Amino acid sequence: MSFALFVLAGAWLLGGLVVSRLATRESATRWGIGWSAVTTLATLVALLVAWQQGPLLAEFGGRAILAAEVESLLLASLTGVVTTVALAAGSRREITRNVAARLLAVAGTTFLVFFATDLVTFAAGWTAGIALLGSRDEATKLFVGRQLLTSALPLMVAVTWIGMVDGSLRLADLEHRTLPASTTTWIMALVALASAARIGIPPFHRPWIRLIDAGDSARAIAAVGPLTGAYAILRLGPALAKAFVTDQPWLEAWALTAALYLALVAYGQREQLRLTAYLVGSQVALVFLALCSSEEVAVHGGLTLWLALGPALSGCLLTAQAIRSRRGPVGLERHHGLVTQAPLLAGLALVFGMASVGLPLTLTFVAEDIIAQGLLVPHPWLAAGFVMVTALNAINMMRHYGRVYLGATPRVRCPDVSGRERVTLVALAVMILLAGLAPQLALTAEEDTAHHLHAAEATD
Amino acid sequence: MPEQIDGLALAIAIFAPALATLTTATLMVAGRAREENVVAISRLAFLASFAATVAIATVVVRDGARELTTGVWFEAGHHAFHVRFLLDPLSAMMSVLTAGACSLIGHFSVTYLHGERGHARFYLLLDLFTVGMLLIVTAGSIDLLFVGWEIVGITSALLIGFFHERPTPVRNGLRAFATYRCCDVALLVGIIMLHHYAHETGMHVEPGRWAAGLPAVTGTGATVVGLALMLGAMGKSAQAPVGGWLPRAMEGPTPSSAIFYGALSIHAGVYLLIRAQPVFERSPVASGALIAVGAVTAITATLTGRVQSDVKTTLAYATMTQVGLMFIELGLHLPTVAALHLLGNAVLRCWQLLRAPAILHELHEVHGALEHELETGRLLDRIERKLPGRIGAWLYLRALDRFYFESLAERFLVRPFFALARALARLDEGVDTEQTAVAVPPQAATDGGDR
Repeated sequence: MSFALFVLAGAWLLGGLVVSRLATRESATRWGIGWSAVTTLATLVALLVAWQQGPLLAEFGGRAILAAEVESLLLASLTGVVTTVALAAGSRREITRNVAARLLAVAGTTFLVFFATDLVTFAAGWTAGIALLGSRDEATKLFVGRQLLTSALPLMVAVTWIGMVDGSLRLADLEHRTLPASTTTWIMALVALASAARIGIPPFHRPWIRLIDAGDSARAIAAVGPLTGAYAILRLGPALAKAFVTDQPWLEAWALTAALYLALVAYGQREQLRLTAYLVGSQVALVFLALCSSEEVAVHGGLTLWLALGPALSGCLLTAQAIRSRRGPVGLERHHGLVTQAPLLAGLALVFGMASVGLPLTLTFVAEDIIAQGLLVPHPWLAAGFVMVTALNAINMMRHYGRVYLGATPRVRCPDVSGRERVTLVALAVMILLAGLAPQLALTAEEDTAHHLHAAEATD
Repeated sequence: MPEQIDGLALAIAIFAPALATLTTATLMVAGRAREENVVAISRLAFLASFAATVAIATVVVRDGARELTTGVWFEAGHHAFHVRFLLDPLSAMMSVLTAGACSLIGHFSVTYLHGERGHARFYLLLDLFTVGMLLIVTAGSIDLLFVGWEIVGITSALLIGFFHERPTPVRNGLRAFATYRCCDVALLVGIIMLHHYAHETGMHVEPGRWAAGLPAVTGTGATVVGLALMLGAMGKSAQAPVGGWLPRAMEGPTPSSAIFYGALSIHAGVYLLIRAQPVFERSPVASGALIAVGAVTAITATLTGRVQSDVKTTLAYATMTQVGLMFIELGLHLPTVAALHLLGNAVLRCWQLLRAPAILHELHEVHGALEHELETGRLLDRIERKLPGRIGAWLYLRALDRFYFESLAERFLVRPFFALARALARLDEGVDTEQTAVAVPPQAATDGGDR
């Protein structure tokens, strides 16, 4: 099986290389989608194997280079799904040959982050994932530049610091050693900074919003969709448990303020895609909040919310981007009535919207219920803030739907989803609804990770 | 054996409309949602559901109340979501009422909405609403009730905005949804506090009670849980000061107004409070709050209803008044009276709302036949005539202003909220948002899109 793990991680990078050599944009997109779908299926098979037989290891010279547990394979599958969907339903204007290749390569680097056994691979995958997104346009350049500065740099400093203090950079070793308290506090602060910047928690959200606003939604989804940033908290949190526990109140307050701020700013938006972007940011901040909390049940809910939000928020952004591609900027001052011309797109937007904000029979509903249950008694104010943000986002989602899709039939044409876009988005919606009906699969898969994270904190 | 019959009947009652929802949605996605197909599917589902609820009621009457646990939907740590149903006289009565009313509305709408653009959408939402409402009334735990509660909220908001070509119904739908969500926050808090204080949220039959109730909590717990549940119920049952959405909800098609705001959805809050009686019995504060809210709503709604100029709005305020009275009955710990009141009001309002479009025509005929006979004998008319002129005028003006509930909320909540949101958006952007919203490649604005 060790060979399989190398193939899994390498397949994305190889796919990116192959796609970049293809002659036309259409063939590049087709190959990209096929490659991505097959690799995602292979990842799901690996997930089943890991579930039955335990973690998969990729060894070289008797040493584990990569390791994949159920948790990391779940997140890798999520990355695969998000990448496939972004490629298949992303704006044709955006998905050029170059971008298709980059998206595959970014997925490969995300796999490296999820499967890393040492901090060097972790940081290398992290940084490469940012750098590979880059292209010539202004918004992407800004995004990559800021990300390298606010996310990659702090992580590299943290890794170097750990290396200097501890000597070993293996993640497994790190948990069993005791670093000096003053050092861990600073390292944890750097990791939290890197993590928050990577998933676009304020004040680091602006470049990500601009990326979406410029029409580069597929790249924005690839950058944030799998919530790679949150993985730093998940992997390094237990290793830096003492500092993590000390910093927890600050991190919780930061995450809640960020979620509330983005929810409020979303209300102030006058264009539908921007509103969606802020809504997505606010929901993502809730994952950060749950992961940073000290309650095992809330952490468990946070991990589930992570899985639930990836596909749902990608669907939200893609439907909003589809409207932008067809109609240009759509203001929210009046009703646009697009449902009569694009009924399927409207239906899908409603499903994705509801799945994003935790309306019933979706995995997000389950996750948010668990987080609220976990937080309310030990941290009533945090829980009150949490449920308030979810309510604000739900109302805003409905407002967005009402303004964009309901109203008098417009004179300007707006084609409905068709072809590849239709198949992809309908399949994504079905997947989301099925996940909501059988949430225990996701919860069981996340159980050990939540316990591990909490146990490490409790020990300290 | 009765348990197997109950289980099967319950499954049919809930899954038949759920299957109809799924089938209609699939037909709509495939672009094959022809009117006759959609109607046939819904009729079959409603018929099956109604027959199943009658079977449940028969078994409950014959063998008494029972609890059915079908498993765990999900669990995480110490928190488990048990899918538990409860079949007792109250849930039997409510499920027959739900399935029966939905069947009738489904049948009524065949001709009422014939040829309407959103015909399939209406049936899709009606089917989904039936599922939600049946989940509420058969839920054996408040967790499951909350799932149905949310489904009812969404379908309600979407049906208010059914005639979406006009902006007003859409805005009113959003207003209803916003009220629901804000009050649902309180309900969710109540549920979690119930978990905390009672360590469970199941409803259990107690000796001497005809309707099973939530676990009893005492002291501060009872007050906290009671007040939170009351706030949740106030949203769904349109009680003052958050009931302004109800008259506006009448923008929806008449059949949906009849089923939601005449018969079922509006009474969901009352149903929740009947189930929560053990909590209210232990908290004088929560019971007092219930009476106060009910009294304020009943008085203001009846006065406001009397100055309205259209029949559906008048009926909406009449419903609010009656539900306010039910809140008072529940505050006085008279759940049986409230349940009977609920049943009577649900049937009467549903019937009145269905007849509303034809009522002016009928009224003209009756007036023509009876002339001045109609003007005498009404209690409120007599009271009104005996009021001193100044008080009458003062009340008249306050009623026209709907007792300022909405204008105060608009002034002190909605406007400051949006002002804050816009200020934050400007702060976030650094420049005016309108300028950056158009920072899109120029070709993207062309018509037709890229797919």
